[in-house]
Amino acid sequence: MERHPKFKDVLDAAASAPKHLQRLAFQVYLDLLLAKDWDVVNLQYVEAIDKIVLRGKRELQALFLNQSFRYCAQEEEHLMIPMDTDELWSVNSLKEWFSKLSAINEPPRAPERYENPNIGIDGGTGFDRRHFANHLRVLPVSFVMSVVSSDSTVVYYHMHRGLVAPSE
Amino acid sequence: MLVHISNGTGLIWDPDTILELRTRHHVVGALIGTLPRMPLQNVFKSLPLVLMPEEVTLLLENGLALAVDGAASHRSPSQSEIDADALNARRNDSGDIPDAAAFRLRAKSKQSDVASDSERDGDSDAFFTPVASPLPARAASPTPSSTPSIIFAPAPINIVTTYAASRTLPWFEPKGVDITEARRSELWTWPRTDAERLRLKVFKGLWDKGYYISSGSKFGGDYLMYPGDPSRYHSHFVVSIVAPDRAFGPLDAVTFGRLGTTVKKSHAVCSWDEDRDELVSFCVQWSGWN
Repeated sequence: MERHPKFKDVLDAAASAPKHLQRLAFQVYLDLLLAKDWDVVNLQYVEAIDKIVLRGKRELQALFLNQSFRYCAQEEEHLMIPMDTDELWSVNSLKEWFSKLSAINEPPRAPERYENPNIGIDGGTGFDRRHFANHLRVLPVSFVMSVVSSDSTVVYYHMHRGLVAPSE
Repeated sequence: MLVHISNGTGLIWDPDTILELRTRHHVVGALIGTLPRMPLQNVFKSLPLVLMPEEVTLLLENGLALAVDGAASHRSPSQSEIDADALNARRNDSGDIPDAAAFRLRAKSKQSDVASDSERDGDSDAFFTPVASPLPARAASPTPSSTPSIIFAPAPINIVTTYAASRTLPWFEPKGVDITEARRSELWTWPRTDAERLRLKVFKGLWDKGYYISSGSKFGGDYLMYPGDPSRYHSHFVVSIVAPDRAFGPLDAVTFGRLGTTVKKSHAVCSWDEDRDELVSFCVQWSGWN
């Protein structure tokens, strides 16, 4: 695991995190970035809740497409918390997580080398790093519980704060 | 409004109250009676309406309804009242109901058709009516006319009218009591346990938000929550009431979320924050990413 080129990202972002958290986060990181082909995934160790939190967007284009694609542009940033299948949660722990997650305000770094050939950072498509950072500076109303099982399957479930009706 | 308490269950016996509860107070309850003319089915139900204990306590505490002790409200009727009631029942039974009269007429004419070409005597109302065979005698039959056979004569139609509600009975004297008195007399004691108190708080919290709430057992939760009248709206939430420190595994979230998504609902995990005295709720939804 440590020799995987992508593991360096995990180490860079969350060097102080416990080993098992790095392992979980790495699994989710790979799944999102490589298997699901997400555009941006960042990691951050949140000591207050003792979790590595991942933040990412599925589609970056959406941000700078014109008005007619406004629906796409609403693709929001997701906040993932990797969990083991035998970890426990309760209403109290969710409450605590949300309150401590609200404290994360630091915008994630855009990836150093952006590998999508169509829209590079310097590709003249109007991508503004500052705009992206501001866009991410919102308090979480939900996070995605990312459950990692031993066969490396990851399942993703939204946990919303408050009553949130289904989208359809 | 009166909620009739019978063996610890709150019942509503009249349609006007049901309508008022539903339209003005978004309290739904569940009809549990059988429709007399549509037995053997359980899609359409009739009076009475049974209320969840949460609903009863909510109505009583908010002063929207009074509790009535079902058993104590029926005193012993006097002989004259019994006679009057019997007379009334007989009058209803003997032709006041047009359907009954028509039925009887039709039944009679059928009976006489069947028996027309044979001499028959005896009581036409008897269930088994021995008559001579109405069928033409077969050649093989040795003594065609003398062998009596038994046919089933149409039974007389009896329409028994039993009023579900006690409202029309002269010996029904309901005395509505408020929540304090109902608790003191142990007529209505719900909630008793901590778990029940939690249920009540969560129910009130959700009801205060304006939702219509019904039982959620069909979807593995405590409640189903509708944004409007359940007959017009799809329910958006399956609600589970849990203690704040009740531990779940991540796979419980999968169970909640997966079931909810397949029926286009959010699974709401609700509890009560005692420190801040407010409803806490979290919704689990499948992301659809895998």
